[in-house]
Amino acid sequence: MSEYFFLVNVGDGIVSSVCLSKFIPNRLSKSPIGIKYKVAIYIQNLDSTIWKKIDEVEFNNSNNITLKSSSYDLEVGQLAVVVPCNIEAVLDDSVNILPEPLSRKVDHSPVNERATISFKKGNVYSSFQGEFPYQMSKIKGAFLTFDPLILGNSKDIKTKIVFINIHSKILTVKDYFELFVADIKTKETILSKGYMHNSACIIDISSSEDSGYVFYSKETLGIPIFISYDEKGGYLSVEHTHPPAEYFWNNKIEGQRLLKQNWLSQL
Amino acid sequence: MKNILLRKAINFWHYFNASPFSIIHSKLRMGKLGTDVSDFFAFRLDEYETIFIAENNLALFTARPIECKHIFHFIDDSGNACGVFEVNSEDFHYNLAINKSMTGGVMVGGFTHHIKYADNVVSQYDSLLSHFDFQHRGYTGFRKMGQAGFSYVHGNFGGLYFDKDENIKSLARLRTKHVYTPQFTIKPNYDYDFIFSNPVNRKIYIKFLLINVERTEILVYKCLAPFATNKFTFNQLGIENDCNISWETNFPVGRCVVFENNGDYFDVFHA
Repeated sequence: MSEYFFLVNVGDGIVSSVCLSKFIPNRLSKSPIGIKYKVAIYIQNLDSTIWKKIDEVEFNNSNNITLKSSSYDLEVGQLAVVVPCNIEAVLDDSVNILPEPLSRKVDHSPVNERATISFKKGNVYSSFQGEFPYQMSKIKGAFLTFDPLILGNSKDIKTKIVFINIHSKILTVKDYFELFVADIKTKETILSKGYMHNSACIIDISSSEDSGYVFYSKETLGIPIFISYDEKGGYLSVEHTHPPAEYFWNNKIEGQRLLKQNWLSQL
Repeated sequence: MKNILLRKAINFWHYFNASPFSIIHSKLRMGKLGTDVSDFFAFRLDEYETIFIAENNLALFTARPIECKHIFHFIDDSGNACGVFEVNSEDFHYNLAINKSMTGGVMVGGFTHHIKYADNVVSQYDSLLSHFDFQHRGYTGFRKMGQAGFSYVHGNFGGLYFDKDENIKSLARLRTKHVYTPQFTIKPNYDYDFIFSNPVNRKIYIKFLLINVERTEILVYKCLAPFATNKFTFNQLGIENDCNISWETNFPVGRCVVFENNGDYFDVFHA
């Protein structure tokens, strides 16, 4: 298992950042404390299928690397993919397949190789330990999640759902997809928004008092992030929802498949 | 032949030490053990409010509202039961505002979430339920008193269930010592609360390590009673530059809930 990370311009003056350390996230006590690596940052223009390397960052004398979306000229919805790489790797400036991220595991200890992914507006910030799994970037599928994190929010609080979609394999053409928002009870579509391969679909949505929402795409997988904030600058919260497989203790994959089937057949 | 057996034994040893849950019991259907499995969640009512978003798994599974009974067991900082709250709902999600009357006056502790369905519902979905056991992850929201909204962390680890005699049991297991290092920095002039929950029936010991560019130093040793949830606070560590923090435990994955506070704002996340 190895992981990508991402910076994204979500608009409204919100800056995203990624923090990685040279230390192994989870290891046996007797294993090495860290590994040597660097990160490369790749972007893909919204109308292109070519990845451009825009930066390479090493740890030098620090134990940590922190990258900010504001350091790169990203359009709203554009991703900068952060790829951990071997320290000695020679990386091309232009590629059509995103490099496979370096695994930071040194033993059999279980854990996803995460980074701190933060969002900041003014002085207020919020973060989670997250990643975009390399395996997910290579497969097709359907996406479905719910909105429990915005249920009951007051009218003063704005929420963005940011749907991160990374496709690392070669693309001959950039396809156009749609992310839908439906009422969780009536299953009626409320709105939809288009997105392309290798971008973030950003939907501004307000809390529903008497129902809730279901978000879905029948065409791609992705990671949903909910950013809630007030314009006064006193509050910002970010968290990702867990995938439907997590509702099950056993038979997770089959449970997720059936759950998606039960919803998507009605949406 | 000897080499093959040796390799198999080594592989099993790696697999065993990396498994956060009981290998034998995790293969059994929950129906043989209890009902369903819950993560171990943390609440805090000291300067903070805590809400919990509970999921109605069968309703979410079948895409239709189904009445269930949500059951929340609260456990104090010594690992003792301190309250139970039950509520019926057919909604896909239920928002629980946790208060002191539910927790028996306890300000910081842990809780589990379980659900029960009426017999007619169980009969109706018998063929479906015979293939799956539900797991409760949920989302815990924290906010300081008077703040506009909540900041959330999702459930992460636990494997807790109640047996037929209503005794708390766990599928989580202790293994060889592991070191967990979240990918964030400890900053000068910030305060940190680390909330650890112990989902096993044995004491656990935590060795905190502070890492700067020059060296690693042992910060403190802590101990958690069986099934206890404790808050460990680090105020003004006297550091001049950003540092990293690690902790050594016998959990294959020793995650906790971290509160970072700069006096004006706080951030909360699962390490």
